Amino acid sequence: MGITKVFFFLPAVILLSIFLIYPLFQTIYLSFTSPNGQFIGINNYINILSRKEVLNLENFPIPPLGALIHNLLWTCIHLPLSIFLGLIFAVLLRNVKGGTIIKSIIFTGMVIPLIVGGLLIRFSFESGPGIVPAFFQILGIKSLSKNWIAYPDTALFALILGSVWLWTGFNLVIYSAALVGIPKEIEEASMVDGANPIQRFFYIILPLLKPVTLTTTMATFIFELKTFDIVYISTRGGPGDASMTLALLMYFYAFRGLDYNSAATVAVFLTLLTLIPAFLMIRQYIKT
Amino acid sequence: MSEEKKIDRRTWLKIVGGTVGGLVVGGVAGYYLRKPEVIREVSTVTTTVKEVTTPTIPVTPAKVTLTVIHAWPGEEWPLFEPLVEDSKKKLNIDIKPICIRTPDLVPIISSMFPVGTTPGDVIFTWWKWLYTNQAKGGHLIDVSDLFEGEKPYLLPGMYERYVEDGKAYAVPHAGQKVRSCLWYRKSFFKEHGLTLPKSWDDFISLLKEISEISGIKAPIVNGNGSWPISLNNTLDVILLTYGGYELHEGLARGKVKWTDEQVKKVLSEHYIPLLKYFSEPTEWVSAIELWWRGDYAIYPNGSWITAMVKDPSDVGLLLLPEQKSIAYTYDCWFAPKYTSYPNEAKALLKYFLSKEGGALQVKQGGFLPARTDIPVDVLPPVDREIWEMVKNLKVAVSPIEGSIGGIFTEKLFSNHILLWSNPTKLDSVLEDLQKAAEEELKK
Repeated sequence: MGITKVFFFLPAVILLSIFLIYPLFQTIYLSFTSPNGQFIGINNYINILSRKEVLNLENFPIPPLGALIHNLLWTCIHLPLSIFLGLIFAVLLRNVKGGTIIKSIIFTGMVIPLIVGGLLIRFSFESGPGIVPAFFQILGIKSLSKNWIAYPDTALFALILGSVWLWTGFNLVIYSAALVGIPKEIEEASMVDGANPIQRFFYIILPLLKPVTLTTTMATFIFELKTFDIVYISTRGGPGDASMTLALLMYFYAFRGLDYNSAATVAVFLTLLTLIPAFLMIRQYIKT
Repeated sequence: MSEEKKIDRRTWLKIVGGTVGGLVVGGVAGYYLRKPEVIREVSTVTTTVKEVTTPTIPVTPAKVTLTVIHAWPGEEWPLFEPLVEDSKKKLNIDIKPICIRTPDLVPIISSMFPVGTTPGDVIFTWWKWLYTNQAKGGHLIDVSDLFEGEKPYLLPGMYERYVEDGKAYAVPHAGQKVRSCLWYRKSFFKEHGLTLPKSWDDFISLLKEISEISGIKAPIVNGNGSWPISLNNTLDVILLTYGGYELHEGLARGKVKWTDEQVKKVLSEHYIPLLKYFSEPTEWVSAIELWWRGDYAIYPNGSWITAMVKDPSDVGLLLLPEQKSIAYTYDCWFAPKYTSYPNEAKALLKYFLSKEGGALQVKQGGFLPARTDIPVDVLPPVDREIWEMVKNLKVAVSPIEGSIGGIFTEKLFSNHILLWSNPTKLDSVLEDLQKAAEEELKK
């Protein structure tokens, strides 16, 4: 029996070792070495964190603020907004006639490839074809009826808002599925007790959706840290690094600068950033 | 319990003996019945074949198939295809064309060359930095000998573009494109009584005059794609015209600092004042249509624009009066050391460099010669008109955007738009560019 177990276990171990464990350790190793292979401790990390494209508070609060701050801003704006919208739409549309069609339309943003999504964001925020500048022009707000992605003060926010549209569909679908799982009896009992819709939302639905919220929060957070395609296709991190993100910076170091050590350092840094909240959330999830 | 059938010692011996015997017999038979060895080097085929075959049986050496990595997908392919077909006949080779555009080529060759492998035998690139890095890394075949006897026929400055430490590792493509220049629509200028400038002041006056034309959105359209093409091109034009060939070359080769006073002076006097005449960044292909319908008067772009408009004869090249040199695309071919067919690869490079290769390429339209000895009547009329204007201008070493490469190029793209949105940032932009250039150059 022992040999049989090993026999079935071995292919997975070999594949994971070759394609995951070895590259992972190689990346970590690269992040501690110089291009000529010398061990240099945490010098790469110090070097990366001292670069203006990673951390730059000279212009605070106007971007460019560095990829690290941009990722943080992305998280602070995108995470609550996309989860809130996903939840609200899921709750509002669950018993509405034609709600499924509206949900499908919202989910379109999630279905399209992110590269296409990036292009759509770019065109939506460009003056001329863009719907957003046109909207603000109608409202008479001149400062926002411009090409958002061409100006450092608006480029990052254009991408964040665009990505909210792309990602809300994901949260909407997860919440919709979770809402179906809430027993009707509980809601009916609360109605008998005289709870109004708002009370039902806050005291019945929201607590019961807590495990799902943890999942969506984690998935959304990881999406935010990994953001690459949208930025690459819309602004390439510009103007003047005003919309640079860590994932894009890693790509530029690796495949434009051919500086694999710096790229590996950003990759490890990014992985650590992802792991910390993921670990906390999993722990919380287990407790729950 | 099942009864286990054991193999006795005698049977084992039969199996082992039979296998060994079979291998020996097969090996001997294979040795005597084998096909003559085909040697790739055409020049040595005769002697080698004589050793293994009888003289009465004529043996044709196998045709070598070269994998050629080009950069012309879709509709662009038919313009290059005639060269492929012609070279196949003339060089008695087969060609397996694969389209990999330069940005996609970078990760491939940067991982393959260091381990001694290559995705192709002959490779095309439009980035100087990619070529320079691979040449300096010792990955490319020295092709200096291919230029012997050809240098006098090349455009001024064309050969120098491919020289690294005294040797050339690439040849220019048979047909070149003017990369950095300004274009206008002749009928638009005629309709509004506009004349081509004779000095810098004239040029600024022209832009002011255009600004006042009813219906015009901006005098210069700011074409933008995944890179700010119009601003990049204008930067080259300004540096070459008001800084000169040497300053531009110094920047392209990393020998002049971006923070140099002369660079600052040229840019602050000639580049920054132009930015206010540029439109907002506009998707560069749709910008052609907008330019054509009269929303804008001037479009900084490459000579491929003539193939993208409704009436190519209506397109005029606007050279600044003081302009003595011009940036072409860096389009070139190189052969990696790791090719199995170095002689055939060099023969193909020689063909691309040759007069006949050049004539055939420019005949297809959309290309300008890399040489001066190609009969002008081979060129289609639109290209001929451009050619007459640029043939005596010195060819810049490379467009700035592809010169140093890596992070520098990304910084350049990103900072162009920043500078357009906030021209007061010139000093910090130049510092940023210099820092990126230094980082790239020290690698």
